[in-house]
Amino acid sequence: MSTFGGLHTAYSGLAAARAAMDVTGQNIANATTAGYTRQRVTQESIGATGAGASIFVNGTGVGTGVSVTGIQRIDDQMVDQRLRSATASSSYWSVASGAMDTVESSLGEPSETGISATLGDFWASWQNLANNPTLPSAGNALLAQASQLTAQISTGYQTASADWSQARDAASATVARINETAGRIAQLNTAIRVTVAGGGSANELIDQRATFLTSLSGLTGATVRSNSDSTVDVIVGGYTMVGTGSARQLTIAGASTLVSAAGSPVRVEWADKPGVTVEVDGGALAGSLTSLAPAAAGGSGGPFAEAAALYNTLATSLATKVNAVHSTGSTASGMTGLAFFSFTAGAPAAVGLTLVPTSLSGIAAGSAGSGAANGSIADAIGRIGQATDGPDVIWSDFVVSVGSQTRNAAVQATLTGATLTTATTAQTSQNSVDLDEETTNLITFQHAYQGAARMMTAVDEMLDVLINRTGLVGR
Amino acid sequence: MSIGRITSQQQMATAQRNIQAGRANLARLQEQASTGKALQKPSDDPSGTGAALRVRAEARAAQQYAVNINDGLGWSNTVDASLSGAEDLLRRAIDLTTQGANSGTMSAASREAIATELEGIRNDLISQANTQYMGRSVFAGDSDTGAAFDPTTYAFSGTPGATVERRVSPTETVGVDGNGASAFGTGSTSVFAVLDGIAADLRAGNQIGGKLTDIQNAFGNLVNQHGIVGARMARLEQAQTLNLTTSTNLETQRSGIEDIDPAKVIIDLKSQELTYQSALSVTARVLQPTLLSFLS
Repeated sequence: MSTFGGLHTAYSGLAAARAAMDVTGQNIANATTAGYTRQRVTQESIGATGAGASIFVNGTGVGTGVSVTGIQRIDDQMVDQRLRSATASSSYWSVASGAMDTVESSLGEPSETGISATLGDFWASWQNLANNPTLPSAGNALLAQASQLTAQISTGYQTASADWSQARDAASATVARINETAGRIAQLNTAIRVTVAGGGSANELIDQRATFLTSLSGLTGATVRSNSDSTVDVIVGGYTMVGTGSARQLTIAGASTLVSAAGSPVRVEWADKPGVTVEVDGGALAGSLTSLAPAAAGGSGGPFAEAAALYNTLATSLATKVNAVHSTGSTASGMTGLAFFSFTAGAPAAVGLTLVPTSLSGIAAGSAGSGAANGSIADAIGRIGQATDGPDVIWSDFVVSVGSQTRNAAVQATLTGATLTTATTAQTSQNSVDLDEETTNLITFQHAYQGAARMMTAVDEMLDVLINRTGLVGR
Repeated sequence: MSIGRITSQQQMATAQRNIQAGRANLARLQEQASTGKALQKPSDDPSGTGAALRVRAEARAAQQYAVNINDGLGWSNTVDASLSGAEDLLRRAIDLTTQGANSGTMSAASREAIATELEGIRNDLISQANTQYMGRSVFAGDSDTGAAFDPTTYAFSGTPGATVERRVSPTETVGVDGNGASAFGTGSTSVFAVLDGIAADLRAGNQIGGKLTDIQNAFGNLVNQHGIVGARMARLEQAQTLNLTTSTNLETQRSGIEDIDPAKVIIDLKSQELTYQSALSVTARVLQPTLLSFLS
């Protein structure tokens, strides 16, 4: 080592300590930045000059300082991946559970005003009419109760239909966000590749990209494949959505109203490959698509379509049961074979359910051939409420089934939420900045800087002795 | 997972999450305590909701049976009162007939007086037989005509055999009207015609001893019908008691399914309050210090 070598060694220490302090400063500055991953300076000791260069060089050589080799972003791919998949399932269940909650609260049960209570009042009105078959007010009370019932069934259907449309709008918005996020990831991919190829540090860009990747996984359940050039591929439904530098776009296709959803279910397609359905395997979008699914046998369809179908079933059952008895009865003036409920053609049963009689004279309360004040048919209709296959049972079965589905969805949402919490905790534990740790590092680097400076002073003093005071013997 | 780094951000997030969870529990318990309902929505207890809906429907039906029974009792009481009135009238008619049977000792004026009173009794009987309850003749069955008996021909306007029934339980109905045809007879064989015949005989000076049997038979018919009505009233009252018990039981069931156990909820609420306050105070302590506070 040369005489001045020590100065360079000390200088490299100063530079390394300063770089380390700069990075610590960056960490502290970003202590609360969302998505920021802490960084460290990586450094290496520099060996003796010429060490190992030739087999003829020997003797002990001292290393010649330290070099800063890079700035490392301290993350863990596994932890990031776990966070992404946990986000996907949590988002899926939170959307699915939200849809069930909407349906559940639209039922308004159990209460004094729900459909079950109105049905009870409706049957009671028939009993009242059976008590007073000649009283016009009893007939009017029954008709008022019946129109309240039909209005409630129709409102229920329309609520389900409106909720479905809202969910579809939400799905469209989700697709727009997915496309935007994918575009950003593609841009960042390009920027990162260029920066890394040029030897620079792309840590902050990678942080941004990781944030977008997590949010894209939450939206679509996308999985991520890392490439050797620091770029990533994003896979959605088995196909590459984001490659190097370019992103494909998704579009939402299918019915835009609940009525037509059965014929053309809502689905997602690639914009550049229309007609081919993308099987979105998780995330908020999959949750939306599930809740938009048409009604299926056994009640396994989407909650909104199932609710709408149930209101139709309820309306049909009510009309069939009541009409079957009513048509056997006779009005006060002896007319028989009359219907009590009818359906407007072309409308869903729940919406098209209307009343035929407009006053007491159109209601067949008595059995055919009996006196004008006979109420036995009204009594028989009033007893439909107790039938084991009547509208009341259809309704309460549905309420119970919605209740248990909502509960299941809520339990799933809680469970996946807990998994997400664990994954987030693991990720923040790995990535986030700890101020105490940074303070400790700051002190360490400060001391390292001071030590290197002292070393420089020592070398300087040594050289001073050599240059200014040597050779003065005998003067 | 081993205990890795614990960072300030992580601690902050955990603290926030715990406080949120505590608050959510507190809100849920407060809602339960203030509404008194454990079953707010079907998902709180799906099978309980099914039971609650069924119990509510049964309670609503029971409520209607109570209305039916009250209405039935109104009818029956009216029938009962008319029949009692008719019996009193007929007892007087029997007395008068017995008196008139001794016609040999009576002046024409006395016979005329008895005949006139008998005709008065007949009129009163017709008005009893045409008694109405809420616009309906209680002896006319399911007919909606204003009067059960024509005041001149004594023709019965009701459908013979038709009864007015009230539903008192899911499986049972009770008749609440009086059978006018059986109680008073119809047309020329009616009790009214019998009284007219006696009055006419008295005026004509004929012997009326033979008619005593007719009028006693008519009285017997009234008493028979009265007995039937009395038995139905007893049945209605029994049904009323039973229905009241059923309603009370249903309300107890409903409350058991839907309502909270106040003591339990209040204890839970108190302990949750304590948990929440602890979480707040622990958070306040944990988040304050950093290494910087201790470096000079």
